[in-house]
Amino acid sequence: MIEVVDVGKSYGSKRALGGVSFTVAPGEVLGLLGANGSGKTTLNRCIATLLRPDEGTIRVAGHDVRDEPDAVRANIGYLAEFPTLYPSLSAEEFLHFLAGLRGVSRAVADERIGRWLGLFELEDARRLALGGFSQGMKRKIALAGALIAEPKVVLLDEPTNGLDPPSVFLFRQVISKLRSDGCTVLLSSHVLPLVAQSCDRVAILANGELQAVGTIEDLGVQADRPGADLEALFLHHSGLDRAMLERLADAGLGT
Amino acid sequence: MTAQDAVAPVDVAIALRWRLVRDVLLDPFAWVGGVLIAAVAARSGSALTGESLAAVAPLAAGLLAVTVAALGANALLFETAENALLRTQPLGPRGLLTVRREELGWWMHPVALLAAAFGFGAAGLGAAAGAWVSARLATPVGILLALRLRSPRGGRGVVLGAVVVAASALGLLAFGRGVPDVPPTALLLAGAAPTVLLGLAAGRLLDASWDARYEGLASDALAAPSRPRGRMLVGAARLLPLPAPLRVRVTRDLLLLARGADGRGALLLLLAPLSVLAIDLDPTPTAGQLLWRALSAAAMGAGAIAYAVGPGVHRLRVAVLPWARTAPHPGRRALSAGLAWGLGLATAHGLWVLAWIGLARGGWFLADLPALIGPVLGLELAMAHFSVTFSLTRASGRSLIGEGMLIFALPVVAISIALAGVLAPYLIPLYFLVTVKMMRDAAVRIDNLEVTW
Repeated sequence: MIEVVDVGKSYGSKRALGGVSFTVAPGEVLGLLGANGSGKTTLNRCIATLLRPDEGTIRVAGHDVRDEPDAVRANIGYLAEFPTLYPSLSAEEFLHFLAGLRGVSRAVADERIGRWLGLFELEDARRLALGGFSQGMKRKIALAGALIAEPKVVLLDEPTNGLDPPSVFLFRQVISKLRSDGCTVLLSSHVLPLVAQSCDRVAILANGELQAVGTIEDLGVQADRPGADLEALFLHHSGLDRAMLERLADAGLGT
Repeated sequence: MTAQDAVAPVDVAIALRWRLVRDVLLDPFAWVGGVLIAAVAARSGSALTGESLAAVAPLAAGLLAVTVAALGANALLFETAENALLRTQPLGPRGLLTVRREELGWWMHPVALLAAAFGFGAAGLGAAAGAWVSARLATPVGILLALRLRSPRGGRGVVLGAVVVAASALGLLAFGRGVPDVPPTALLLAGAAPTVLLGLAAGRLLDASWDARYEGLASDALAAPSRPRGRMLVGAARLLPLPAPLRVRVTRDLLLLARGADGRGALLLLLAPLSVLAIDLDPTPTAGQLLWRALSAAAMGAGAIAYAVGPGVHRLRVAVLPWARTAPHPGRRALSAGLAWGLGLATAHGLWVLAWIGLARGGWFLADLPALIGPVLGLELAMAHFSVTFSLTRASGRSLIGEGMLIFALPVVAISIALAGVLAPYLIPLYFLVTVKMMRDAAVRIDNLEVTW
């Protein structure tokens, strides 16, 4: 379970988040949408204990990120937007490293690594250096790394960047399985079809503030546009539709 | 800009590479470290004895430089990810080889200076000059070796043959005391000649024939899967009696060091054992002199280890800190793993110093060892402990603040502990008591670091 209450965070004089509140229940997948710079990554980092929120409270699996960060860390799996992998380690070595960080025994880690690499058809690359991997392969390794300890709460920041369509399909099945296993999943993504297909509810951030949260149907009702697709609702709730129309007109490209 | 004003792509690439290389080569901290290493190299050279030193120094330095150049050339020509960008520019294989040759030449300056220091220590200015020239001319030889090793047509056999010939020459010169009445100048020329001649010939060969072949080899290298070396280290590290979160950190550091992710740290760790050469046992020292010399050697080696395991290992880890920081107890475990490294290596080095003294002159100093054990091990452990803790306490984002301060703080710690070792060894454990808060601060620092990458 994730509970975010009135959270604010600034970088110097720049306010990245302000008054953000929402909850994600066990067995629920919440999609976090927002334009570049809207605060999604900052919010993910606050929940993952990488940043300390300046205001408000965040509780993960019942533990406060400020007061009990280690209890939070014991419950989460975090996939960063640009995860760093050691280029000179092999896929197997890197995944063993991540499993070991969380105290997973070597035998259990071996079994899980085999399962993940098999799922992503990376068995042959098990002992190859990560430096030679494609962007998509690295992403799959990072995803496996985030889930290797089978956490209760999963934070995924742009998880399908660089993945090909079959891998995105596999990824959606993984999300489904996480949901059915009772995991709490926060999924930040720009890929609207993925969010629409995988998430139970959607939260929309703009300029560091939460604009709307609910099912796609709820968002349509809130926008007074029932039946509208997620793209239209996202643009509407984040105020981007009006802003973009103005910018198009300014550029002489208005219709 | 007219066509006449346009700068050639090769010159643009060389200028860009220089901007990157100069930041490393002209870094003042690298210079401080370089001077220390040069002093060790000179001392290592002076520890050699025998008639043929004038010849051995340039040849040994040249061979070492060729090895370094070959490794560097392999990395620059085949392994650097940036090659994908450079190879698609209008440089051509000749242009890229020129850029990389130029760049490797810059990187070889410190190697040549170290070689000269070694030569100077061994046999004076003449040997220093010979060693310097040998090392400077190692660049084309290294490139040629790297190309040869990648060549599908029996490159490895040629290289192996060259190594055997070089080692034989070195052995003959070092132990060739049967050669009567050879003047030192002739020996010096004989020592410098192989690498000088090789260097000149390699330069001509490169110019003449390797442009076209490089293109194909680079393409093959890009297509070939890269299997990391040193997997046996993982098996060995698995035997470490540490809990999993610590063991995987130590294993990761070990693999990264072994695979060249921290060249400076690896070099320091390789040089650390040479510190025993500073122990002068002739004429026979008094017990007090012996203790002080043992402590000096311990401090030199522990200093190298401390710098490698303090800021060096932290720098290796920080890139992937988001992974480690989202796992439980990141600060405590980073500190413990750092200390496991530091204290383990410091203990090994301390035992090496003690063994060196104990075995010298057929065990002449064995009776003195009990008085040395406490001070030597105490000094080694304290220095490694201080460096690891100090570095983590000053961890700040991706970099360290106060890394330069370590250069000044560590000698203060070393001298204080060494003085305690001489005057009142029972006071050494006090160091570990007074640094308990520093350890707590180090762990908290990592726990609370704001990770924005």
